[in-house]
Amino acid sequence: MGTGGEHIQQATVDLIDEHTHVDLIDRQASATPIDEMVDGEGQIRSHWQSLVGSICSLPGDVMGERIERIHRHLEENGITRRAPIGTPGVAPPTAPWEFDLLPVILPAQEWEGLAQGLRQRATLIDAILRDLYGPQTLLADGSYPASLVLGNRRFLRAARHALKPGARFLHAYAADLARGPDGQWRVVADRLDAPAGSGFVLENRLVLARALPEIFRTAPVRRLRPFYELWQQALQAMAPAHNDNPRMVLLTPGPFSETYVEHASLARELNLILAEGADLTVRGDHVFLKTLSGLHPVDVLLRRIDSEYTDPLELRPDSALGASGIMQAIRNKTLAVGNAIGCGVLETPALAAFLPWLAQRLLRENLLLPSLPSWWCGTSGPREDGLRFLDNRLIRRTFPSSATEAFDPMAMDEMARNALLADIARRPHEFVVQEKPIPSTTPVWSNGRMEPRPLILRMFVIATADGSYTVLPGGFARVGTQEKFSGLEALSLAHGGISKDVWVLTAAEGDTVVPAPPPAPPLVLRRSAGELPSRVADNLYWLGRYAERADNAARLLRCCISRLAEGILGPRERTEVAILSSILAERGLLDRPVPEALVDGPVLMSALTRACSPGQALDELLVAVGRLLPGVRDRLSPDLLHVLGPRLDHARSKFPNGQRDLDGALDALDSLIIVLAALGGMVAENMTRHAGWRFLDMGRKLERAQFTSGILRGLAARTIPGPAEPGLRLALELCDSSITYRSRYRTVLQSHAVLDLVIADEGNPRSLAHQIGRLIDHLGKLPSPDGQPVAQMALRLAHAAMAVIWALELEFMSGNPAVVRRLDGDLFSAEQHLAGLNDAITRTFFSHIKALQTLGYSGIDTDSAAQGFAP
Amino acid sequence: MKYAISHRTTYTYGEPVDLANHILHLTPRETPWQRVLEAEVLCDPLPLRRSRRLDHFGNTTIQISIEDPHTSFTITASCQVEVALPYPPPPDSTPAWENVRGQLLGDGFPLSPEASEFTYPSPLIPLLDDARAYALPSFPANQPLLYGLRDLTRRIHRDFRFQPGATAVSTPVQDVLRERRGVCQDFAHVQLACLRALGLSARYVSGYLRTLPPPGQYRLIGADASHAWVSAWCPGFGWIDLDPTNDLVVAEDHVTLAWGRDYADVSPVRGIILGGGSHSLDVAVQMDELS
Repeated sequence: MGTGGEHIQQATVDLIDEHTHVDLIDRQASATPIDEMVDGEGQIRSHWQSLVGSICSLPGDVMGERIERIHRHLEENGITRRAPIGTPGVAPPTAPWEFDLLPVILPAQEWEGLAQGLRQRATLIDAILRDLYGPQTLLADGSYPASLVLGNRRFLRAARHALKPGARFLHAYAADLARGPDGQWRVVADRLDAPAGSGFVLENRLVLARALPEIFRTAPVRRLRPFYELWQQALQAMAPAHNDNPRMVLLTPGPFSETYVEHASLARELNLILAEGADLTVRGDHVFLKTLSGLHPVDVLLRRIDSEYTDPLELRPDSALGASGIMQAIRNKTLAVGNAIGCGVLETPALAAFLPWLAQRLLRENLLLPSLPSWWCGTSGPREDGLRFLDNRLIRRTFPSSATEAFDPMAMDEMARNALLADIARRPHEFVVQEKPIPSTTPVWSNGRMEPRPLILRMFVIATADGSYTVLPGGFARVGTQEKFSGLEALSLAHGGISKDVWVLTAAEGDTVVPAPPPAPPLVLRRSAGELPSRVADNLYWLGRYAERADNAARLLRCCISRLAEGILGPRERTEVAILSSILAERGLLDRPVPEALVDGPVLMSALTRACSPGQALDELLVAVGRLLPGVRDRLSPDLLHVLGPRLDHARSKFPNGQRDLDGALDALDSLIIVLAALGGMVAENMTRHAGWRFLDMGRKLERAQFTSGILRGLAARTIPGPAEPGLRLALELCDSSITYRSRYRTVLQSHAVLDLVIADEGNPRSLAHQIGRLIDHLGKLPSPDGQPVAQMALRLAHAAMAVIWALELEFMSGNPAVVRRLDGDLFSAEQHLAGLNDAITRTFFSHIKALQTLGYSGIDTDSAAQGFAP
Repeated sequence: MKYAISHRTTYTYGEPVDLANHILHLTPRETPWQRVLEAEVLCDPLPLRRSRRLDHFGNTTIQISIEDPHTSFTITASCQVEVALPYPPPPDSTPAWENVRGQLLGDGFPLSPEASEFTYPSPLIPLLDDARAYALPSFPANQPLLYGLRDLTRRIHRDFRFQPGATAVSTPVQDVLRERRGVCQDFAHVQLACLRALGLSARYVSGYLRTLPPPGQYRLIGADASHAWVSAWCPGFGWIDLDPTNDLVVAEDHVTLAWGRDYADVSPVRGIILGGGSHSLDVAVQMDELS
């Protein structure tokens, strides 16, 4: 506590004046929330003094600047929240990740008490799950109501007896906690099926440590990393086979999911392969990952999709997120899944009413960490008790359709309230009465001062390899955006609001040291990642193609617009512009070519500006790049993501919307070309040469080869047999080779020299020969999917294209001017080979997803007779 | 009564199926009133993997996977079964239906959790006010349960038209209730919806019906194919099977394959296939009495 003391408190009076204000009025009312930072006397609690002191010692508006910086950082790294609901296949809108700089601070002793309670709760809930999916003695002896299980759609019958007796269900557990006015923490909700947030904790810590390094470095804060190391070991220990180096997968719903960002960061932290359902297939009794190098068995699945969606064969038949046959693999013990399928059965607010008794019944212990007081209406006594005092209570559905669904009877008009009470009377077991939480407040930084906001704390528990539970010394805090607070908001808070880091302070006598992991056998060194899911390879390949296609389109447009923008057109420029307009039209960038006589008229000018505006072909390409990006996020470096994300968006935002703004269009094209050039540079310099890089680069090279060949044929058809010069000059310009040519040949333009440079000179990175050479190199180094001859075919096709180029090269070397007449035919055959190459790559490496069909139950338009009912 | 049953299901696909997973409920249940003398299920093509287990309801479930491309798939289930259902209790001796409902509620803790399972809404049978309204005339105050059950079975048989092709497997039970027509599966679903809306317990039974009637009797509807009926819980007695398609209390003409909450739990064949294009389905059932 280096900076504590009176002067600090004096200095902070202004700072926290707003904060204490609420706390000082009406201390007597028992329903007044307590504050995490300030005690009843308006004094800063001792465990907060150091932080408050440090913040006060920051000069000027440092906090404001740091907040700015954080927001920039989050945005640039694509850390956003997605709207939970979206149309399948369409990215839902993203909202900025709202983060507050001030952490929530828990003293060591307080955290230890919470951790003990959470460990007990996890043990208890696991024991209940084992019984419900096993012998169900709790139902038979009346310890837990049958309707909460057998009448609960989240009780998954396919999972009954699926695990061997005694196997663990709950591997990861999260609890949302609120501290009441009496100072007691209570569990508001238990998150059991696929608890989210443990990845966001890491992001928040990272952001905070970066934003306030001077404060964070000196604070006695428990580190998070050891928890994740234990988690990784625990996942490894779950593996039914290959214990030394099991293949572990994090199953995500995909980039359009609300929490995909966290899945990516968790997969990185825990060394898991991030995969979607479509990346998995079940053959025999094993689950396999579909990769570039064939099928690889999966041993452990960290499930981040709801249980119901895991296996369309045995669970929800309409699920496209899982893989058919996973349940059978679980039964056959070839696959371990955490959490076990079906844990959602206990995600009901009714559970809280039975935990104290179940703790006695199953553990012979008192429940250490209470829930919000809750009354299940299915039994008459508790129903009457619960409904007797509605002033400070909420009514919730036993099986809520969303985690935030609740009614505040006092906020309803009388008619609505009576209708609700009638519903309860009719179907009492479908309702739970719960005490309205009055969460404590904690400061947030707002406009240069601290303001109190209601707090919900999410804490995380995992099962460790030795069979016990361990608690993350940190957490994920959510605070409301408003100071005023109704109990209903406490529930939705867990799903929105502003997020905060949670600091658990180290005990005075040194940190609790996590035991070192048992020595692992040394890993076999790997120099490549053959385990690239085919879907990711597919996305990277098309990302490369679209980015390059956009670059080519931008260069073509710039070439044309820059001539018009210079003003008066000479006869040479007129010819060039006319040629360019017809090539642009051919490529769908203009509606129609413009004859030479009209090139300086308004028609072409507006057509060109239109081509550079939002919604047009070029813009569509950039949108396509943006669409592919989320699915490959975890394969690209932050710098690369920055270029493809915010920088590309910025370039796009420059596209003119006005009429005939040639300068604006030119400016936008310049920025776009620079951004895309930066992408090229990073791909070349900064990416590890793994298979993913090869696919990204193959996409770029193939696209560029096809573009270059197409342009040269287009130019040849229009100019080369006739007035040679404009065509040759354009060829050099469009292939970005003018400077190289000038340094070699000065200003003399001759067809064989120009064509040699842009077609056959492998040393020119924009030549056709260079692109094909790179393709051959990539294809030769890719993992070969088990003995597939198609990979050989792709390589042969690339060689065939190269052979065409070499034949042309011989003609260039002999200076034969007649070569231009062969150009069209030869390049056309090279292009045919390249198109075949694209098909071969697709067939060889990318998973062709044939349509899955459901037979029997849920056959949509099969009539009953056809299903075998009655004659 | 002893029967020999053969049940053949053939799927024919427009395009090759690369990968198929199927779940079969085609093995008769062993019960106190039904003895399975022999039973086998043959598949063509031969599955790469085949496993057998009891599901949550105690039905034998066969799960198979085929990984070789195939354009047709045939399942032949054959069995010999001996059936002797106990006579139902005299209707007067059965408890009043409200009393049964009370036992199933048990103030939150039913005495028989197994029976209570079939009082809750299920995937294909939601809680329906319409069903409750339709059922109530059969259950006046203090009506002994079996009277009510018989009356409801008779009314469904009278009010609903048996019309193959009028409904699909996916037709919701509320549509059947409104249109008043369908096949045995729909009739069973309607009766389940009615009983559950009253708080009573009833399960869906999948099985077969004898093909040739005993001499001098009419051929029953639903033979030559899979059949379905309901089984209602009666405290003190157990389960009473009722066939709304034929308006009768099940005795010796029905063979039980499996039971569950509704068709979705026990459909004879379901599966997920990769590829296949459009498909057609052919089902043939033969059930003969053995002397």
